[in-house]
Order: sequence, then C-alpha cells, then structure tokens
Amino acid sequence: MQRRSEILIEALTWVASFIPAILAGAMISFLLFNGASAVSWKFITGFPEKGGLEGGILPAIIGSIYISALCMLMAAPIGIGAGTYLAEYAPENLFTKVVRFFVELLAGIPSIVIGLFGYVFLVHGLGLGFSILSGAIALAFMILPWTVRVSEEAIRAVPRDYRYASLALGASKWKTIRTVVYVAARPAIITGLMLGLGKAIGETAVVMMTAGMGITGYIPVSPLDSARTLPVHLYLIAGEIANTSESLKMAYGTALVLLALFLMVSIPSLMLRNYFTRRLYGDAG
Amino acid sequence: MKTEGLIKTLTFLCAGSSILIVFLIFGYTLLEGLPVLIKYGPSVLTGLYWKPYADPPQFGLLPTIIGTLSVSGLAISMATPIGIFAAIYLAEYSGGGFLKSFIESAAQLLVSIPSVVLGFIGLVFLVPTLAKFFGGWGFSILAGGIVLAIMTLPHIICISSDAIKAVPRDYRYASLALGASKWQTIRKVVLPAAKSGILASIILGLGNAIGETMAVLMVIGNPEVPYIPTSILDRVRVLTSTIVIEFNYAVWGSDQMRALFAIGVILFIITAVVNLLAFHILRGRIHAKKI
Amino acid sequence: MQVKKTLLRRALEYKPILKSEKLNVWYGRVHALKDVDMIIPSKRITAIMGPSGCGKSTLLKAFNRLLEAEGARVEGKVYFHDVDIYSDSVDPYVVRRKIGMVFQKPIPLPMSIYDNVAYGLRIGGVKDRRVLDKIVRENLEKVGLWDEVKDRLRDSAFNLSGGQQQRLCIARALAVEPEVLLLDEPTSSLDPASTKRIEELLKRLSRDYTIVVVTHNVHQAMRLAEHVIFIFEGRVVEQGEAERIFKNPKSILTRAYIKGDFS
Repeated sequence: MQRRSEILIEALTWVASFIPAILAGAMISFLLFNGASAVSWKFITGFPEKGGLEGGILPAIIGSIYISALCMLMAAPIGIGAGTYLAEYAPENLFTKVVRFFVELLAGIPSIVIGLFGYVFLVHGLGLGFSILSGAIALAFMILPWTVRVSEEAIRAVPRDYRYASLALGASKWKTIRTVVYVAARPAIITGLMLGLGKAIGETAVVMMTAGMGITGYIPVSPLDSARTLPVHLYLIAGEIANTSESLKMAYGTALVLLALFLMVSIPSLMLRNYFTRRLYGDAG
Repeated sequence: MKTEGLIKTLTFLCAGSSILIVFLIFGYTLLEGLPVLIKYGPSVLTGLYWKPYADPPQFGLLPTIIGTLSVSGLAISMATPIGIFAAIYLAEYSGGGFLKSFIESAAQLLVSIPSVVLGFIGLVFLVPTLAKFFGGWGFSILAGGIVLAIMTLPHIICISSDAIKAVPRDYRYASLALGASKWQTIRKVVLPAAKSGILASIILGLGNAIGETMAVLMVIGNPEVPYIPTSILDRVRVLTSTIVIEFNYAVWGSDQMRALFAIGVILFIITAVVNLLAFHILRGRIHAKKI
Repeated sequence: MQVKKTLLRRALEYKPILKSEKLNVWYGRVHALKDVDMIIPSKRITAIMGPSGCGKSTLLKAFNRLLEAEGARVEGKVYFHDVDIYSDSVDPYVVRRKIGMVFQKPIPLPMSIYDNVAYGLRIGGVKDRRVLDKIVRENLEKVGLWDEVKDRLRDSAFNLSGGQQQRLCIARALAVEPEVLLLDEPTSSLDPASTKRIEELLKRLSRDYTIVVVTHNVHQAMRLAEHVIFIFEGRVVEQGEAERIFKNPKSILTRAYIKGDFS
C-alpha cells in the first residue's frame, strides 16, 4: 500500500515537470499552424499597409535587429567588465555585497518602469527623442543584470588551476584573464549573451516607450530615427484586429516571425549551454 | 603594472554602474511622479475612480491595485504547486541525462519567451475559449492568471529545484536507513530543509507577476473605468497595463502622464521590497541557474 | 571432554542471522563485491575489516538494501532469518527497519534531538505523544545520552558534539527496534574518548542486538569483535571466530593485514 502512493507521487512529479515543455511545444505549434500561411517572401520584405492590417513587416524586422544589436553592443562590454570585476578583482567586503544587491535589484525592476525611465531620461531628458538609440540604451539597462550574471558565472567556472599555471609562468593578472580565462569562458559567455539577445528581441514595453512606433513606410537608417520592432508591431495590430481573416493572418504571421527570430537565437545557445555544462560538471549539474 | 590598475578601475566602474543606474531610474521616475502623489495625496492609493479625462481628473488606483493582486495571486497559486512538484522531479526522481536537460531547457525557454507572444496567444486562443465556456467577455482575471502562471512557472521550477538539490545527500540516506520511503523522506526531511529556497522562489515569482506587462495586458480586458472585481471572470486593470494603455494618449508634462509615473514609483517600490525579501532569504547564495 | 563441550556450545550459540550467497555488486562497471559468501552470527559483534576501498561499506549496505538507493546493481542472495531480502516479495522499507544503520559521519537530521529519535517512529505511524516520549527516553538512556540532553530535547541536534551526535544516531536507529545494527566506521571521525564510549556502548548492546561494525582499524576490530570477516579487493579472504583469526590467520593476506603491513 505504501508502494502505490509512492508510484503515484512519482508520476505526478513527472507530469508536472513536463508541463513547461508541453506548453512551449503547444504554443509553437499553435502559431505555426495558424501563421505559416501568412509568412511569404512578400510578407517579410513588404511594408505594412492599412495600418499593418495588410502587407508586410519589413520595417519591424529591420527595427528589431537594429535595436537589439545596438543594445547588445552596449550591454555586453559593460556586463563582461562587471562580471570580470566581481569574479576576479572584487574583495569580499561590504561594497561588493552592495554591488551584487543592486545588480539583483536592477534585475527585478519591472520592464515597464524602465520604459518610463527611458522615456523621461532618454527621450526627453537627453533629448534623443523616440529613436533607435533611446530604445537600445533602455534595453541595455534592462539586459545588463543578465549579462553581468552570465559573465561572472562563466568566469568563475574556469578552473583555478588554469590561472595558477599562467601566473606561474610569469604572466600578469590581466594577461592571464585576457589570454586564458576569457578564452576558457568564451563559450559560456557567448551563449549567455545570446540568451540575453533573445530577451531583448522579445521586449515590448520598453521599446515602445523609447523607440516609438516608427515612421510609416520608412526603413530606419540613422540611430536617431524612430523605429518599431516586431513585438511592438504585434501589439499594435493585435489591438486592431478587425474580424477580417487577413488582419488576423498578419498578426499570426508577425507572431510567428518574432517567435522564429527568438528561437533562432535562443535554442542554439540553450543547447550549447547544456552541452558545455555537462562537459564540465557531468550529470550533477 | 599600470594596465593592471587601469583594468581594475574600468571593471570596477562597470560593476558600479548598476548602482548608478538603479538610482537614476528611481530618481527620475520619482521626480516625474512625485508631483501627482503630492497633489492628490493618499487618494491615489485608496481612491476608487481613475478618471484622467474628467475635470478635475481623479487618479484613484484602488481597483487597479486589487486587479494586480488578484491576477498575480491567482497566477502564483496555480504555478506554485506545479512548480514545486516539477522541481521535486528534477531534483529527486529524474536520473539525469538527456531527459533532465530537455526538461530544464524547456523551462529556460519558457522563461524568456517574448511576453507579447504569450499575450497574443492568450488573446486569440484563451480568451475566446473562456468566453465559450463561461460566457461573458473571456477577458478576465482568470485569463490573466493563467497567462501569468505560465510565465512564472519556470522561475519557480528553477529556483526551487536549486534549493532542493542543495539539501545534503546524507540526510536522505539517514532517513532511508530508518525505513522511510522516498516520498516520506522528501516530505519530512528534504522539503523542510529546502523551505527557505522554495519560499524565496515563490516570493520572486510573485514579484515577477506583479511587474509583468504585455502578457497580462492583452487578456484582462482593461475596462475604461476600472471597477473592483467580484469574480474571477471580471475584467480588470492592473498597474502595469494602465501605464501602457494610457501612455500613448497622455501628454508629456500633464498630470495624467505624471500619474503614470506615480504608478511606476509604486511598482518600483513593490518589486524592490519583494526582491529584498527574497534576497534576504537566499542570503548571498549565488545560484548558477537563476534566471 | 571439555573441548568438545565448548565446541558444541559454541556451535549451538553461533546462529547465523544474516547469510549471503554468491553476492555480487556493481557500481556502474566497477565490480565492487565478488562472489561473497559469508555469515553474520546473531547477537554477537562482527567486524568487517579490510583496507580502504576493498568493499567493506558496500557489503554493509547490501544488508539493508541501501545499495539500490545509490544506484548499484546487486546479484546473489542475502538471507535474513532464511528469507532472501532481495526477493521481489520483500519490501525494502521493512528490511531497513529490521536492519538499522549508523554512518561514518554522524548525520543528525535537521531537527531537534527529540525529533531525531522520534523520526523513525513517526514514519512508522506512531503518533501518541506518551508512547513517543517513553521510547525516546528509553533509547537515549540506552546510549547514555539521556542525562546529557534531557533538559534540551528541543534543541537542534547540531548543537551536540561529534561523539554525542553519533550516539544520537545510534539511539535513533535503535528506536525502531531493529534486530541488527550496522555501523559503518562509526568512530573514525571521532576523538579517542568518544571512540571508547561508543565501543563500550556497542559491547553492551551486543547482548540484545546483532552488531556489525565496519572498521579499517585492526586494533578496534581486536577490541570489539567476536566474529571477523576480512575482505580484500571485493572478496572474502577469511572469516570466522575473532580469537582464532587474530591468533592463527590462515591466509598470508590476513596475517599481513593484522600485522599492519598495509591498510
């Protein structure tokens, strides 16, 4: 009798653990099923018409790539720098604890608050207006804690022996970090940054409040141009879906393209991450 | 030698930038929102009516706050049992290997999935389905709760499973050697020992839920005049959705815009307190896989 | 005449309570125990000795089916009172209650002293406070801890010293009324004074319980054992009455080990 409840409990936990996978799979299939018909060459390279209810989504695609790339360009070096400091140089004192606390605090700030901040500080305060630059900077603020965490973790994971070996050969600390630690931590840092890129690609509120909604019929060129991204575009047309199947299809198509972009960036990094973690830690990780 | 010092300073500045950024964010948001908080006083928190276009405008957030609490509360109560059970599976029953990393990757994926995609699916699938089953609008606290639960679930799983894995293996052996079954061992030894980590994951999940914007926005209904909900099928507004909706209509420098910033301040404080609580509970443990 | 009587008496009193037949254990690809045939006599102290890594702990864990929890593969038979404990009809939880175990490092559960001792009882469904109180007290007295802790039963078990914790673990194991008590190097992490106390405790307990001690310390084995099993590289090299083995070991290996040529 004890045996039966044991098996039941184990089965319950098994089911529960599959729920995230099932949900993810269900959502992807749902979008695929409904949106595949909307995605065509014209869709990807065309411009939105009739307020986005017809046509294509090229500006949004370009906007997404532009803003996310610019964001990572800013967030990555600072994140890696901070991670290096925390992992290599920081003494275990009060100040370090404070820094860590603030990184966590920043991570917990709701994205919409960052959007508000970006609006008052970047759009108005610094006079950048609704622009790709504003969007990228605000996004960078949001992604920063993630890049810091990922970098620090990756650098810490490098076995101490590598450092000792390098130092014993007379290399300075910075040289050791540059030539040994970074190289060893590179896969982990890169995959972590790519996951961060995925988050940046998917962010809506922050971007809408700092980069605006783009200029109709125009592909953003200068970083001071306003631009819309895929998530923003999806949100805007989702609000407008008349009950025409065409507009619905547009929305599904946008969602699918956005999801595809996100998955293209995230899935390889997840797989690579798992591969490397298991190489280092075996199955205990 | 000089480069050493330079590098140390540069990286130190990078690390310290987070402190600066947090202060900037809080400062500017407070600066914009404070005038409204002062002008309208505590009625912002307790007032029943949110009428930015009335003359004089009213900025009562009580129904919205209740909306936030009910949606988040519902989400957490759905996500927590599933999350803890899944965490138990990952930490105790699964044998490692491919299956385990698959489940963990799926959870990681679900964490960063663009919230607008989730909201969109909620809009085109969940809302009509709920409307068909329960009647009414479909847009509801229930819809918001379900969507939020999906978003919070992976967080709870990750942090809880870390906490459970951290319980020393010896305890399990000692318990098994006394004749306890695996589930008894989990229930009476492992879970109580992991209690603080699990609690922290729930609190963090709650914080996430309160701060979540796009996914809830698209499924809760956002009535023009927010009212205090009486059933989970009622439409509501939440703090975050109010900001987004009205942002495009508010004029820069107006009381309405400032009121939105006031909401921002409130959100900042709530999530800061939540994070402080969880941080205090977790106290300096660096979690390898925390999202 | 007298010799025969002693042999006869000894033979009658030497009832095996545990017996293994062709016991083989694998950890993954490592063949930890090879064709082990041995007996453990009832209500005596048996010492399993041998150099580190030879499989002594593995043999011990084979007796209470804890090997399965570690993921090891077991083949062969282990008889407890003539019942093969590895047969499908036997419930491992029941086995573990009849054959208790104390570990090398004292493992107090993260609870109070009282709750530690009461744990096994509560698992078994005992809820009556008075019954629990009585049994907790009895077993703490058995291990000589009662006077030391009776005023702080609610304190965390971690507040005890190493030696006290180990005695607590013994009390905890005894509380479920096992017939056999397995101890895996119970004193190797303790100071000499605590070691002595526990050795004396074991001698007292062997009147009522079958005691099996794994030790890598030959002198401890000499002090405690009435029956000895000497294991080397996963195989039983020699087993039998302690007196005989220590005075007159049959195998060169045994002789060398006792002399201290290797450990």
